[in-house]
Amino acid sequence: MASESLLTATGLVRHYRLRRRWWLGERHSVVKAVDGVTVEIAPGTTLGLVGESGCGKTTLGRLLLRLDQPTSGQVTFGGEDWLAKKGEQLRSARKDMQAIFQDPLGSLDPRRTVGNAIGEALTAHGLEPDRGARAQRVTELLQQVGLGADVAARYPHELSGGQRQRATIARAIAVGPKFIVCDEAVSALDVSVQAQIINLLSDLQDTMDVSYLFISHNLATVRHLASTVAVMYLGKIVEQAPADEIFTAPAHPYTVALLAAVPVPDPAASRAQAASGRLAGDPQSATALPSGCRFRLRCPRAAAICAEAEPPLSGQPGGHAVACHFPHS
Amino acid sequence: MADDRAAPSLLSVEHLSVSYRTSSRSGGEHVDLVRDVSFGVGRGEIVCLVGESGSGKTLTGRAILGLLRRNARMRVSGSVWLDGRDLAALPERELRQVRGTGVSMIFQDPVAALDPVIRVGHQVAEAMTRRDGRRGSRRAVVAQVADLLRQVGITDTEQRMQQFPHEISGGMCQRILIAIALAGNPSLLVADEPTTALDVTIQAQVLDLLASLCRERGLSVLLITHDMGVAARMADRVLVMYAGAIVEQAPAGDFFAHPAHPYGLGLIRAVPRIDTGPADRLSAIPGSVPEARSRPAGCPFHPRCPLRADVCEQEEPELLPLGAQHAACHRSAEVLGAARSLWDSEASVG
Amino acid sequence: MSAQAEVAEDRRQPSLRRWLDRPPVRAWRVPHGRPLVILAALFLLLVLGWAAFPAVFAGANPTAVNPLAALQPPLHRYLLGTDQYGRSVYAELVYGARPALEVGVLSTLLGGAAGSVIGILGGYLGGWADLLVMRLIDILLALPGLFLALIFIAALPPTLTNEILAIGIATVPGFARVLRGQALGVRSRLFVDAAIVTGVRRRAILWRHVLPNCLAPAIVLGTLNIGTAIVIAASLSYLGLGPSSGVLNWGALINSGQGYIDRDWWISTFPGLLVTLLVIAVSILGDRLRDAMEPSSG
Repeated sequence: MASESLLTATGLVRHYRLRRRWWLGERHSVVKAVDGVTVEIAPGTTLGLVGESGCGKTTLGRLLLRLDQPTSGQVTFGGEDWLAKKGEQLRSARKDMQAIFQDPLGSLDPRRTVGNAIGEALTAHGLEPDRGARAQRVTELLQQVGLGADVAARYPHELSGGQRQRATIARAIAVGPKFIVCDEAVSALDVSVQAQIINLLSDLQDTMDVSYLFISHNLATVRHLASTVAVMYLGKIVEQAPADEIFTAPAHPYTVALLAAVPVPDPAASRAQAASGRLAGDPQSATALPSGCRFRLRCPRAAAICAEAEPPLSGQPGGHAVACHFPHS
Repeated sequence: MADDRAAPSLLSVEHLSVSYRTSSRSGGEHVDLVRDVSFGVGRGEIVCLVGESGSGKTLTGRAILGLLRRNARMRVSGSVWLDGRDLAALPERELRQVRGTGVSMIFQDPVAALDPVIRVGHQVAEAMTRRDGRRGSRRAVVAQVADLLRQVGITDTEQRMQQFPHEISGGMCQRILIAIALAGNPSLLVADEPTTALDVTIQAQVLDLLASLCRERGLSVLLITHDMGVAARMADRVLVMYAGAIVEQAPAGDFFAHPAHPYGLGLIRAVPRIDTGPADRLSAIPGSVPEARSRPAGCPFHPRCPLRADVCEQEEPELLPLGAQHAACHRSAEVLGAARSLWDSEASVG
Repeated sequence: MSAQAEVAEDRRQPSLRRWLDRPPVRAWRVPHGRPLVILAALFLLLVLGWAAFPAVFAGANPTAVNPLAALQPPLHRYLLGTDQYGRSVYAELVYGARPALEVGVLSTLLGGAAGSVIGILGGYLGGWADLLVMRLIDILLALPGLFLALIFIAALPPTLTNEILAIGIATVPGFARVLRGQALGVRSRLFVDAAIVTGVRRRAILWRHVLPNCLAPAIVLGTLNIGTAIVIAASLSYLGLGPSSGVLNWGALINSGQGYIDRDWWISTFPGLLVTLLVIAVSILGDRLRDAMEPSSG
């Protein structure tokens, strides 16, 4: 717990300005996709980032990966100012931060073989310039993710969903990163395959000492990988705590509702869940945020103060932080 | 293979098979996608058809409504008995009458299933148009639409009716679609992955709605899903499909407590859970679902099965009863006995 | 459309509409499929043969004037008749094939390559590069292809090379616009993001990922364009603006026969027909080529 942080993001904000024509003149609206997020990830650990659609978790992932520009905020990665890097400096630094995406078919070029895709990663960072050694390395990587050497010659559409995702994992680990952003990495896979991939990611973390930002809308998948969990709602983190505490003692009403809604494959447990109440209403749009606490319109505990003041994310003893005026205890 | 409950069957599917003729360019072979599926749904019952991709569950649902007829490459055989009529044998004209009034369907992507340029109120009203062409006065129609919307849990109906699909959320769209599906007062609703595209908190709301509709209106639901948790929450009975055939069939309580097929057990064990402590490793089923074109001989699951024996490679097992449950496995009795520990040693990378 | 929409639509339509929409017993189909492609390929091969070895097909001396044989109708002693100078129309068509194909293919290659590069760079790089590209396209597109080529060729001495250049320039905006759109689309695809995250250099991304995935529409556009280029070339010659050397040119032939069109129709008609058939054949093949290039979807 005392090791210094690998990645620290402070006050990350991403606002999108939408310009719309409205009768005469224009209307501006702002989508506050990420509205001030601060996270810290230690080496060799996993931060699980959960939330529903529109909460900004994917946007946060893209900001960290530098696929998108933050409106403001800072990121320190490996002790250096990550956002200040540009051009060739950024490109070669990407070696340390890789990603696995939700759609394995989409994240592989359909016109190139799997071996080609993995080889490209190696070449981009000057690893294994010799063709023979490179092919050898590709085979090793494929085996490390549980694929046979013959997969190198196949095209993405010839593989199953699970195989494709393993291939993208092989590409991600090929350059030896310290940090991997897993953006809904198992959400598009069949249940039986999800379990395989989660196990694989866990094994790789042990052997390679790599950190993950595991983004998911499914709390249950996060449980098996994360040491810390952060819950996002409409652009802000509403609760953050060590994984065990989030699941056994959630404090924010939204977290409680999320846990109550996750389907459990056990009829008795399901019935118990149903009894603990449902969240009313629909997810808000990120353009028309309510005043004060953005969750108050759906919150069973909302009171007058919730409309006036937005609760800050405040830490409680033991590393558990909540943004709520009336957290569960 | 009709159901074994006392409740009279509303829907009885018998020996349903769907095959697909591939294009002549690649040889023109027939690929079996759904193989000899038989099951029933009783009145007021929720039956969950569970399976992963390639199991044939979606095609089964569509075949029941005769939606595969338009595809010249698909060949459907077998019977679908609904209230004494074989839907599979009905000519299209008559089947159109049955759709909406006898049996209805809702799909996975609610926003895409609505016409984006027509207000949702209109779309519900269109579903309510009497077959004989008679339309009540505008006021009467609006009142009926509002009533239907309220039944699916939509408040401020006046405002909602005027909105377009892109202005409302996914969960709300799915409620609208349920309203449209129920407009003709069908006795059976086929729901194909109705909550997969929705957020988990909204999913809970929609599932609650379906459950209450079932209770209050006596609506029967055939719920097709890949999510074991959804099945646990909703099902009275569970049917598990693998590689185009039903491999297990049981009342929900029995199924989740002691599944009788290794695949069913494996699926339950593979689901990550929040209510138990994190295991060191998830129990995964090694390998992957076989392509329809290259199914293994004998039991299609045997290459992935920890209990595989010689007989499994040679003979495809039939769906046989074991108490209140049915399983298509040569060694189902052992599965019942071994239960929890069966998959623990299989926790490999795959 | 989705099955849900199908079910809903079924209920919506009044009975006449439903009758019209009933599933067809045998669908009407425009002739298409292998036989037509083979036919088109054979025809193109023939024209290529004409271009490569005209003497083999039509003997030597197509320009020899033969007043006694003037204005003979087709299928008497000459296959396609003779023109007012007694020259075989068939021979003139055969010898006109090479310049036509040269202009068509070379101008398309030239303009297509230039337009594609410009379009892809603009679409992928965005920013000022894209602005430049868009303005260039706008300028060039202000006039339709034929007029654009007209302007250039009027300014330059009328040689074959210049004609190729002129039509090539007229071809650039079409390609640039299509490829720019393609590149924009490819740029937002996940595997490009993945390549950026992997750390692949931008040049390599363009060359290895963006370009191949933009090629398919370029190829179809190219084959269609060959046809258009041939038509433009013929039009220029018809207007008297083509290469002045030699008269063995389809467009020139159409021009020279137009005074006789009411009675000796064959002089203008056959070259026109030939150009049309050639354009159709090239389009069919281009379509087939595009189908073959799509990565199979399992």
